[in-house]
Amino acid sequence: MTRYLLRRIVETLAVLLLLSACVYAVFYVLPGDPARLICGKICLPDQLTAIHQKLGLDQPLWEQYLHFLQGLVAGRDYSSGPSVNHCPAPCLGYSFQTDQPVTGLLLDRLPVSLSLTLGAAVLWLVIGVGTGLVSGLRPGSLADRALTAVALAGTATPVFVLGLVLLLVFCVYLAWLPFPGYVPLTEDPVAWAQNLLLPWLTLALTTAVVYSRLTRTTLLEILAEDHIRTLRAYGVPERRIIGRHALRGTLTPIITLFGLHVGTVLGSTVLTESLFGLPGLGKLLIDAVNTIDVPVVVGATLLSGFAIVVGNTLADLLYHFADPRVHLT
Amino acid sequence: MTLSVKGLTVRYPGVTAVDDLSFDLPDGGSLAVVGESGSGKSTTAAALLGLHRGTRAQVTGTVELDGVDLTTLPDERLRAVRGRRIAMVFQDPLSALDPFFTVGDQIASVYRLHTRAARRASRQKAVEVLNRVGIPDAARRVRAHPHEFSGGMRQRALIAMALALEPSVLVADEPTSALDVTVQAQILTLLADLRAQSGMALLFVTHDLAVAAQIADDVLVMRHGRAVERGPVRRVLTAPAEPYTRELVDAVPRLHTPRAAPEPAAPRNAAVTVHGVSHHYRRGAHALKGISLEVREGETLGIVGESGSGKSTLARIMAGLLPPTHGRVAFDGGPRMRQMVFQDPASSFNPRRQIGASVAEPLLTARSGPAGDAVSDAVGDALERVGLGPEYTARYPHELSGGQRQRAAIARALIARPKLMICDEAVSALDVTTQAGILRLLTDVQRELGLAMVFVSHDLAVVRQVSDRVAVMKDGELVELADAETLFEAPQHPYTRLLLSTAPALDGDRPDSH
Repeated sequence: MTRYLLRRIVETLAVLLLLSACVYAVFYVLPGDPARLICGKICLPDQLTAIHQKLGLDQPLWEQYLHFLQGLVAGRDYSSGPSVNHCPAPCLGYSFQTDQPVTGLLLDRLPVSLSLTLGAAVLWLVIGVGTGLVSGLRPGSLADRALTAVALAGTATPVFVLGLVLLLVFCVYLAWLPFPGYVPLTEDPVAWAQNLLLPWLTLALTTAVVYSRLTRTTLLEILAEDHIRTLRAYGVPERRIIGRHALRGTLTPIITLFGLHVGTVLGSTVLTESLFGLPGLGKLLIDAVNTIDVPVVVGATLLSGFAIVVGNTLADLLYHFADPRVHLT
Repeated sequence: MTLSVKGLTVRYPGVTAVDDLSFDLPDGGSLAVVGESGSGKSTTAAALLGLHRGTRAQVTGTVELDGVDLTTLPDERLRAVRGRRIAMVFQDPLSALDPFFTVGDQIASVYRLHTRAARRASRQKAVEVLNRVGIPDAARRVRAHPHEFSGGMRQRALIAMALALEPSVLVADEPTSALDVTVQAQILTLLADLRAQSGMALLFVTHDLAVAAQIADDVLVMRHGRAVERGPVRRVLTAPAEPYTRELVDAVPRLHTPRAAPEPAAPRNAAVTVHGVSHHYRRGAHALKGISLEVREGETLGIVGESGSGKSTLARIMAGLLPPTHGRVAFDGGPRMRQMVFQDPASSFNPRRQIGASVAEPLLTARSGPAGDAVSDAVGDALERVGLGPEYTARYPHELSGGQRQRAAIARALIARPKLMICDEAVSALDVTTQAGILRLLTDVQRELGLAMVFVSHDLAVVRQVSDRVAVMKDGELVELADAETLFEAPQHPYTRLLLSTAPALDGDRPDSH
């Protein structure tokens, strides 16, 4: 187990290293100069050079990248004129646009994204697995076909359409909910949930279908397996066959999907965030891309990548406990 | 009368699997239901426990257990009968237990369900029955998961589950067909012992007449869902009254009947020589350890062994499909001169291509091979040689029976005019009557074309029918290599003797018996 975890940690670091190098390379190749954007409309060549120097853009790419790595591991000093700013490890640098440390920016946004993703994840798991079980237990029934149709409609509906409809219905016509904004959980848990309910629903309803389908298929497969026949031949009641035996096998592949999914969604909820005015990681990333704010892009990408790898590792660990045949090596 | 079946009929949409079947099984009696695939024997077994409820199958007729008709019993009451009064053991022990629960848990929970015994007592019962079926160190193994058990142990565990409830009837559906012969012999002995001790009646479904002869007092021969013949096993198998039964009995390969008209083999050159070949898979134990042998032109070398003996690995190395980790294989000829025929003809053909296209494949991959009409002529010839008309060229694999598909697989091997043909369990998935035909075909083409042939099988009797010389393998080692006559009549190695003595044989087949 320890060996396995060590190996996974080394792998994670390798993935993140590669990821950061890729992001650097991509932004080097792309057209556009962040310094020019900062400099404004009337920009003198001297000013531009100064900004270049300040941002470190006058150095060759590999040197910029090395400095970035150095900051990440050991921290680094930024000197602008006479004053020296120390940025402690893990230092992701300063935003080109706002001059704020990237770590701070990410930490501000992370609770929003976590609240949104984890809340939605619970919902889509409940909705997806629930409907999948109903469908799988009565394949071809009216309920199965109705749920299949609804699920299809759910995936086919773009997030912004579904979100807008929910907003109109619940906030405008029925006025049951306030227009969403972000209230931290620590401040007011009730308001937190109230404000996030619609974003959660939007995200969950468009995602649940995958779980619903997977649950249905897996359940049907397992119910056709030999060991289920054995239980029937030994007079085990159907309720217990499903509740104790079939369900367990059905849930194991869900774990794998869920682990990957939560990590992926964490950094890619920009549509939902924009629609409901939530200051999350997705929006931060998109804004940074548009202004060629490389340190922010790299930081946000690394955080998202980290979330995916961690989610995946957790899923593998869970799988090990869920399925006695799986050994971690 | 324990079990009485009258007019049992099972219809699936469009097909009648069991047609008006009647038989009785007395207290403590044993009946073997034999038949080829599709004869309805497994459907019959499942119908006895009412396992078709809730499926699309339509069941009519009566299944009376001690005077109670199980077919009309309400679900709740039937559940109380299942396991408790009539229990079942299945063919594939690898998948018949839930992989997520320990073996002990599964036995204990079924026991608890029927007897309402306390948790502790149920667990003790599980240990007790596992002990009784011969699981070593049962007190500890009760906590193992099914994947930690070998196939034979899993089958024992399933029998233990049945045993815990002391049913009056045990239905066993091909319980040893997936097991090695030595393990099969152990399970058969176990079942016979348990029947003698507990007095439960045994209904044993099998395709293997020799197994039926060993386990049962009576035999019921089925074909197309109907009973063909029924009677004491000795009488039916030695003096069958029905032509179909006779056909079936005659098709069974015999261990001690020499190969039909063996040709005096003139000494010839080696077609393929294996020099000190060892192989190990990544992280695995050694699959092969220092094997050296040769196959001469015009000769058939049989290779027998149990699962895990390395016989298939050796076959693949000889075919050039797998480079050995050590040693080398000397073969004089191109890659297409070595052809292989596999066990499962259903999955060794691309289901989306016509048979003709698949058979032509070895020609088309050749750089300077024939083209156009020459290819279709060659395909037609090859199909004809294996007894399939040219009309099979345009058929798809699913339109062929298992035997026809295996014929097509042989045609595909022959079309490249190979010097060496390797058959890996090529008849193991086939019914005996079909198997007999394929064995005849293999012998014929080998004679005609003077091929060197390697015939890999777990079935000693089948190997005897086709081989000039036989190699016996165990745990990756070659334990004995001799000409067929010597190996079967005067085996030298103890393991060969064990294999020969445990292989089920039809009555009177074994000269040293009685």
